[in-house]
Amino acid sequence: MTSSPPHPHPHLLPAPTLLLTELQPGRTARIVHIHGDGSTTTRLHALGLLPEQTIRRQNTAPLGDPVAYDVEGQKISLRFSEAKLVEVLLVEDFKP
Amino acid sequence: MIAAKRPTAPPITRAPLIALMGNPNTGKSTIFNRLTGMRQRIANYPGITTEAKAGKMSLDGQTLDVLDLPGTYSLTASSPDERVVIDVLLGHGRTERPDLLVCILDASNLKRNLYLASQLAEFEIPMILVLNQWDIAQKRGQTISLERLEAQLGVPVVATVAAKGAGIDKLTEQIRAMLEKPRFMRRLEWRDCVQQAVDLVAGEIRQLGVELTRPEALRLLFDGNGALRQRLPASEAQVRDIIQKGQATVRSSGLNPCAAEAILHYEHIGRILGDAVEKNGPEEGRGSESIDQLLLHRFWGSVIFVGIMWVVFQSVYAWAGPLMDFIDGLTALAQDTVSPLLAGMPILNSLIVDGIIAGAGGVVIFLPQILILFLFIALLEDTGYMARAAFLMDKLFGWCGLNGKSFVPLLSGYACAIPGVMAARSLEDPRARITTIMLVPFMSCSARLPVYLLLIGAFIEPRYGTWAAGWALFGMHVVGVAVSVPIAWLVNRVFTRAPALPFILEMPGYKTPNVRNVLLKMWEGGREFLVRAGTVILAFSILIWALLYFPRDPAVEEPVTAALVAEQCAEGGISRAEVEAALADEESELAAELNNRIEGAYIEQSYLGRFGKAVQPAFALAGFDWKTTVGVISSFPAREVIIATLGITYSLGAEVDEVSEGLRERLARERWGSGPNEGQPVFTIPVVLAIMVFFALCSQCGATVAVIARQLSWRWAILSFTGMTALAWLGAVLVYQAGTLLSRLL
Repeated sequence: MTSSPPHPHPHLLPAPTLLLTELQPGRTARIVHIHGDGSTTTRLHALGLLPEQTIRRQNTAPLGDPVAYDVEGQKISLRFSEAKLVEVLLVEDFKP
Repeated sequence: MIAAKRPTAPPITRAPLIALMGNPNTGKSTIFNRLTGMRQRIANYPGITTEAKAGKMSLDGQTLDVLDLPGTYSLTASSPDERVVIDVLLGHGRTERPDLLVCILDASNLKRNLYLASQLAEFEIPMILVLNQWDIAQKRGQTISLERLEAQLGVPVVATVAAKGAGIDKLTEQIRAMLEKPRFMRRLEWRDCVQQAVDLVAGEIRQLGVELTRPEALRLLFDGNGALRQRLPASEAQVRDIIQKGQATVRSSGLNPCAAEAILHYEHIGRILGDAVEKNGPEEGRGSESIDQLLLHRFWGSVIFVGIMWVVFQSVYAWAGPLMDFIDGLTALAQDTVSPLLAGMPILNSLIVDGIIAGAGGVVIFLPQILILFLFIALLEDTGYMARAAFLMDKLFGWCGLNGKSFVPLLSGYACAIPGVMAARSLEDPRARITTIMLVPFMSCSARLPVYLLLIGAFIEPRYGTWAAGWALFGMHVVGVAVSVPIAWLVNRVFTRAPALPFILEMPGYKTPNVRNVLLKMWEGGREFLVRAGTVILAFSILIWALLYFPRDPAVEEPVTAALVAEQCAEGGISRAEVEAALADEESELAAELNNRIEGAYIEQSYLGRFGKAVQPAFALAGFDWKTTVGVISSFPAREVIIATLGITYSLGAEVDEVSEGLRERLARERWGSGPNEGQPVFTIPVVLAIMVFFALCSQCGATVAVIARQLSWRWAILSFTGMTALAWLGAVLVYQAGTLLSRLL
């Protein structure tokens, strides 16, 4: 993997990570780590949610949970209780 | 040890066994259908969702057994589906180890799909990889080199578009080639730390007296809670210790044992795909994403969802209506045709007409609803909308142990519980599936409606007006949910205290449904109901018929006739001879009245009638008289029967319906003949409410019980039956007692 993209606030390095549940709609992040050691964690890994993988928040269900994410072109819905296991680092969107 | 039990029969050269595996939504079933045609049946692996299917295909005059296993993303054996897959791979299931694996991959999502294939390679069974949905992958601008993939993996790779039948010939050709000269998929070369850990686990388990194969040791290491662990003779703690030692070895080299398997496999897959797949230019606009902008919109998505469900529900409810009337008509026609032919043999006549024909009609009548619901479910699943519906509804259902996929089964329960229970098989999570199935019969199905209409029309509407009648009807439709959902919550969250299971849902891209698949799903649903549930229902119908018919002692006719004659003489001031003359004319009203009274008396004297009278004290707490009690008990096979039974016991004949004025008036006139309430009306408002609550909660449907037994087990079916019946009794008693108390206070 190449070096991480430039952080929006270089003076605050090391970059603060956030939980997937804190990711804003439409934003993209890079997975840092998936917490836990139960079957949910194994399952998330098996679906390809691995460190270094980028993940984008897409749709939110009407009652705010679950949330759909795009992981390499596959769309996966996670409940809050599962998404909170995923620690991510925000990737700056280079939208004009 | 186990082998010694088997008698040494001459070796049977069995047909080669091919197992189909793959992720969900890869078109695996379509390929299975293409290979086997209609020569398939449901393989019996209890507890799994999208059931395994066994079929046969012919190849050069030879018959091959083909097993379609449930779709799984990985071999992590935490769900029953995945356990079945592992059992089959290891030959622990009902079959020998397969001779060939056909692993179906979604060509447009190769990376994740290869994960399962890469795990399967460990089992050293010859394998063919099928890249299905090849057209979609090409549309997305991917160039996949089949030759390079083959070279990298060491096994044949076939591209197919199963929905159109493209590539199936090539697959058949490869199956033939592989059965002659097997090839094995190249395994991932594990890092040293994993190798050491596997050896350590296998070695320690060997000391417990069990020989593990390499793939078994690997699964135990990475999936300690899986299916294998339960087969080991050691204690939980012993096995956990061994697994932890193995995992510590993995961890010591800086790998997280929980993620190691995935990370290493995906690294391996990444290398292979880097060589074999090229992306040409920018990805074509993904249609699914723009559709989702609307269908998963927080407001409009919900509106559309409600609209779609309204259409589904209306169709199941309304479209099925004419078809059901038609089947009802056919049943009546058959009865009317057969009955005169058997005029000389009353017992056989009644058995065939009231028992067998009525029972068979009572089974077939559910078919339209089942077929229509399965049509919609197949359409929703095939298009990809079902996953979206589950996504939209998940939060609403998650809190009481259900999940988003419970919605469709529960909604269809409002039309009829049977297709609802059958629809619940789409829930992968076993706990959510059981909860859903147990809740479906509480939804107020259309067979309860006649009871509500009769009682509300006879007692509530005349006294309190249309407005109150509407509310009462609405209330009865809510009672079931209001009682059952809190119970589900209590059982799931308070008593079992199990944490909520994960609900990770893949939302596949939208697709045009495949007509063949849709029709096949409808056919399977209908056939399964008729064959598996229908036989049980028919048996129950005949049993109840017998209990209502026998002992049929003709001695009951005399006192009834005498009473009627005396009554007529006293009322009309006419002579005995005149009354008897009127009775002799079979067409006269009086003769019909007598006939109805005699039928009523027979029911009273039947085994079920006696039983009803015997248990009436238990129902007296709910204010039921013996006639209502017999009606309630006789309607356990099918609740709508109560109207006809009430018609017979109230001597109006069986041809009454819920809107017939005769029955309504007769019920309103009915007074207690004895006991503490002698002379008081039987049907007071508390009694009427109690009866309706009883019907709302009670499991009075043999068909539903049979279908639950089929989908889960007889244990669950019996629990559902006894639980609902107990709740119904309790609910009726509470309503009656509270109602009576209230009416005394006011």
